[in-house]
Amino acid sequence: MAGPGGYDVLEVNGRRLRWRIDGAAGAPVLVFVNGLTQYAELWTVHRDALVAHGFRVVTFDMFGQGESDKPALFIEQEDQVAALQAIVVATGAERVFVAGISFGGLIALRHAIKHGDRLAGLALLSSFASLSPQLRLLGGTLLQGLALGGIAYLQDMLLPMNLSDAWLGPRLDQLGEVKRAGFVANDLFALQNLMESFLHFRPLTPELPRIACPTLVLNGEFDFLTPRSLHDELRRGIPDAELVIVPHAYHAFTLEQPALVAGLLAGFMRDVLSGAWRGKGRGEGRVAVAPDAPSQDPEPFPRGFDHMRAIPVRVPRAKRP
Amino acid sequence: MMVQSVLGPLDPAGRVPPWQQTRLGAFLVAGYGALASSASAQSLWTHGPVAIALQQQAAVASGIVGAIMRGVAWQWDPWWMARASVSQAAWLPRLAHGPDVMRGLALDSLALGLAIVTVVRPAPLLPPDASPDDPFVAALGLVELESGRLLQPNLRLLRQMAEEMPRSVVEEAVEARLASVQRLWNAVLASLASSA
Repeated sequence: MAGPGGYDVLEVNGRRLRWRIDGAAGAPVLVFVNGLTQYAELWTVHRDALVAHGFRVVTFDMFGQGESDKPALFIEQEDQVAALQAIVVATGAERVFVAGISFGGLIALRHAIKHGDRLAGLALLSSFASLSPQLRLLGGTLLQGLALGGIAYLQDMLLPMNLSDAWLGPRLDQLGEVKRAGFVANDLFALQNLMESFLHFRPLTPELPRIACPTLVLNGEFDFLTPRSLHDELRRGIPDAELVIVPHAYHAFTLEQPALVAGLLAGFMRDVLSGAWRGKGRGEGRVAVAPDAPSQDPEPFPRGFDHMRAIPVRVPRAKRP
Repeated sequence: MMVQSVLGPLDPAGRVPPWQQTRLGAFLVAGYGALASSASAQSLWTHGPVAIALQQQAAVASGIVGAIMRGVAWQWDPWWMARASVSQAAWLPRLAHGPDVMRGLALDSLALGLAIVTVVRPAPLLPPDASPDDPFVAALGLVELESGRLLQPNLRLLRQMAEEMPRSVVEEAVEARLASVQRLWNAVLASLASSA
């Protein structure tokens, strides 16, 4: 029976993990994996939309987040992978879809490499397999900002970096409430521990070809924290991946455009489950652009143009497919 | 455990009720006072980065004690007086098993610092409408900021110690302090949530 707020507790290696599952028993399962400063409730809109689409949805707090246990001293990314696998097993489904954003995308990626046999499909949102020099330096700056200025300072840096003017503008007067929710849910030591789990990070790029399931890679058009090159590395490395660029979006587009994200994920899962993924020519390195309406399919990126550029530069004739 | 807005409602002057200020303030003074005393003493006979970190811990903890002393609208609190002896005993130095005495005491001081900073987070207890210009609110803001700055060197030194001595010794020292501080903090939270 579910506990407070519909959440249950799962014990993993002696630690408590807060999670919940929604949707009809037997329906295809999708597990959401949070970004660094997130908590399970931030998927509520996506969850409700996907349940309405006929899916079963799992949301949870990773170790160090929300109301799951927050180890004081030692926490490794492998601990998070073990937690995700425990969640997958606890769903009772033979195979599930996993969608992770940013730090959660990295955990989902590690999980897919290690436990790919349990995956029907993988969605990587604002994710990365390696730390580019820019991302490494930005990550170091964010960690130092957190250490010196606390959670509030980290939020002050992340909000304008990761959200658009269109979202921020109408909310400038309410940002205090937005920040307070994250301030209360997060603990400084837990965030530091999560961020310091990158200190010995090794690129996962050489292991990407081991991911056999269909993979949807979503990248905000204007995401400069994890820019196009990092997503394209995922597209090129994972054999059956499709890169979908989300127009007007920044790193945290799941917060800005939940209906669109839910629609893209629902379309992805339906196409994979029905066999239409291949039939529509999706995957296998395709690059596409997300639609404006959640109900539409992504359109192929305009032929002959370079998706790595911000200005319409034609691909050199010799490199055209 | 995620706890929010335990303090309040604000009184007609817009303040957190003085009895809540007093109870929380007394706890913070006891905890950070013990940390300042422990870290200051241990820094005298340790060397290298640990000594510097302990000295920083002592300085920051002393600053927090001073801010709380000035920021709280103190009043008589029999609840606190009744608990003072139990609480004070919990803050006394403990010798970790395994390493030599001096390293054990330094480990305990770092573990105490980590436990206080990780368990005791008073700023989120404030109601959203608390004025940042109120002295008590400002003091809790300072606790949040300054205690956070202790954290990174503290975490790194404890992890380093775990490479120099059996990891289980460090983990046990940290776990013992975490459990002890958590017990005290839970009692304070429960009393803050009750009526005066």
